[in-house]
Amino acid sequence: MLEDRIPPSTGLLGRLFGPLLGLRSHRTVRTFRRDRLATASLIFLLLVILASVAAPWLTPYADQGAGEPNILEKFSPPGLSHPFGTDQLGRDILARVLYGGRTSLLAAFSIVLIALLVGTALGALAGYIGGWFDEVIMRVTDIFLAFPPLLLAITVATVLEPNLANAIFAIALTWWPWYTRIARGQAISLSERAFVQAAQGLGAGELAVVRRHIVPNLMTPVLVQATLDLGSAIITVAGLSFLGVGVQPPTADWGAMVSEGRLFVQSGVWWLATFPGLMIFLSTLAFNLLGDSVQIVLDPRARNG
Amino acid sequence: MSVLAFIARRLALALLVIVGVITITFTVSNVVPNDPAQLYAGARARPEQLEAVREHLRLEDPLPRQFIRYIGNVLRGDLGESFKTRRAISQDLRTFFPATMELVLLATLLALTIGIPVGVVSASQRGRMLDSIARVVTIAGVSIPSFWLAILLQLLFFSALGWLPLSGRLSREIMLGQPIDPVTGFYLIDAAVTANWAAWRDALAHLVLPVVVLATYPVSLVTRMTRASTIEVLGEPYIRTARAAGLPPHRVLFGRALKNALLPVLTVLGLTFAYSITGAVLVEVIFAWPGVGKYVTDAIIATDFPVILAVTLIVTVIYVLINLVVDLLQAAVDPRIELR
Repeated sequence: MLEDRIPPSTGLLGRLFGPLLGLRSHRTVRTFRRDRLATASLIFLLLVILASVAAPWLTPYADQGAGEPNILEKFSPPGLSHPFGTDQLGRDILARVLYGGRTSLLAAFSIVLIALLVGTALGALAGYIGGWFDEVIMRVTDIFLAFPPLLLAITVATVLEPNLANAIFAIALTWWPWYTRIARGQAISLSERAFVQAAQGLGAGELAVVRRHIVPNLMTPVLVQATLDLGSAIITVAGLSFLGVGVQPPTADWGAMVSEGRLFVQSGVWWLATFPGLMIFLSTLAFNLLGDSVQIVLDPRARNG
Repeated sequence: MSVLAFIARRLALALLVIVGVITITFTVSNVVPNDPAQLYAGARARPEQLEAVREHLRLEDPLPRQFIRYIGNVLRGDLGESFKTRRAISQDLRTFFPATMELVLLATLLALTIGIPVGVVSASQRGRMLDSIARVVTIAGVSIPSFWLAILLQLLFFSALGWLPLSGRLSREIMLGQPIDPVTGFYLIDAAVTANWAAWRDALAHLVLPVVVLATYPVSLVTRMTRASTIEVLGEPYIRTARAAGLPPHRVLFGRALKNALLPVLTVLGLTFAYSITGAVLVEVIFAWPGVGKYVTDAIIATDFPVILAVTLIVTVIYVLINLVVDLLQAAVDPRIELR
């Protein structure tokens, strides 16, 4: 069918996300393309990710980005040699922000990936198998959903020595239930569908059906949720680091940088907290705008609205 | 399913969740590497002192027995005592809890009074300028890290303009000169009933920034939710009928559509209220606000486990109760909802 192919003129977003989300029709892809905010967000995020990966080659102050102090240049305001200024140890803040992006983005992607894998697997199995298995999984999910997430994450990160890996684990622990719920709902409705029942009829085992037929078909809403979650993940990691139970110095991290900068707010040194905070804000905003558009494209009711 | 059976099932589930949460928190805080007796007695305690503390806290009992005793105490309203201050936690909470609720209730009030009207107007102006602005502003509102927004506002309104205080609940002069008599623990109410207007103005000035920061997320979320659900309702046949019958647009919107559009908003409001309670943790740290959030972060730094356990428990119970109330209300308001 003609409509089943994405025409070459569908724009960046359509070509990148279309196949990933299984979008094929002309109209959905065109809706996507029209959304300039979403395209701008995607480009911004790609740039931030690229800049973080290439950080050592982008700044002349790579050693400072990694934590090396330079006390002769403490608290220089933003200027030509240091566009974002320098911090309390004289380190170039632009370099710190670039290096901080590595930690913050890596943490956010890891959290969402762990939550997505664990949550989707459990949800798909619970929805497809049903019965007591479903009941147990869903009650455990209820318990984890009832936890105040930030509080649980803080407690876990404190109890297991505060560092990046534990912060990631602690936050993922509070996030997987959302994916379980989404995946379960999808799995239940999918298991009624003809192609799944055909596979059962042909004698495919339960795990094989879940792996080959259920999971691939429930990925769309899961991926939308994941896009939206990346933004919240950045904020949550930053919040933990801000409270001192996440990333530890001298490793750069956006949240930790805002936290350090806060100590100098009263003396009028505004640039320490402002720039890393701006990066948290803009990245989260970009993920949310992107997720919002993906959702509108996939849900016609939201589009008409 | 009958209404009674529905309520009973929901109550049983809520109880299960609360017991589950206590079990997890209790386990986490008791399998930590640190020796609780050491934490209680301090690093320089002599062995016989440690022994006495173990005796006092009955740490030699097997964990399951400690767990059952803990639950029994909680049911009697005894949340244990702080390792750090040796004060009864329930006593501490009596002073910290109203401070947090003052922030949370005001933030929720803002979410209601700003979020709902803006959402409805945005829906009726769909796709036009106002709606687009509201969309961008509310997405920004859910994307901005609260601790960063707090610092920016402090820089602007304290450092640059000098209009508002930096942090705390009251200025030192007021605390020393015209202290507020604690009646309810809510300073605005206490100062008003005792006609202490200088303190009232001071308390209000201290509330502005923390409340604005805490309210940013709920206001944005409620606006988005109201907009989405109003748009959905506006497409329903009964609205077209009302329009065709010649009702003026504002009466269709606020009189007919809003009533049904508010159902999903109810859920979100419950969620944002619960969110604000944990959101208050960061806000209280930045604004040195003497509430539950500050209490628990101080406890976390000092590894004061009874306090961490107690606060997690209280907040979870509030969470679960809010969800329960929202579910029951929805079932009561919307006859289409099937009781399960």
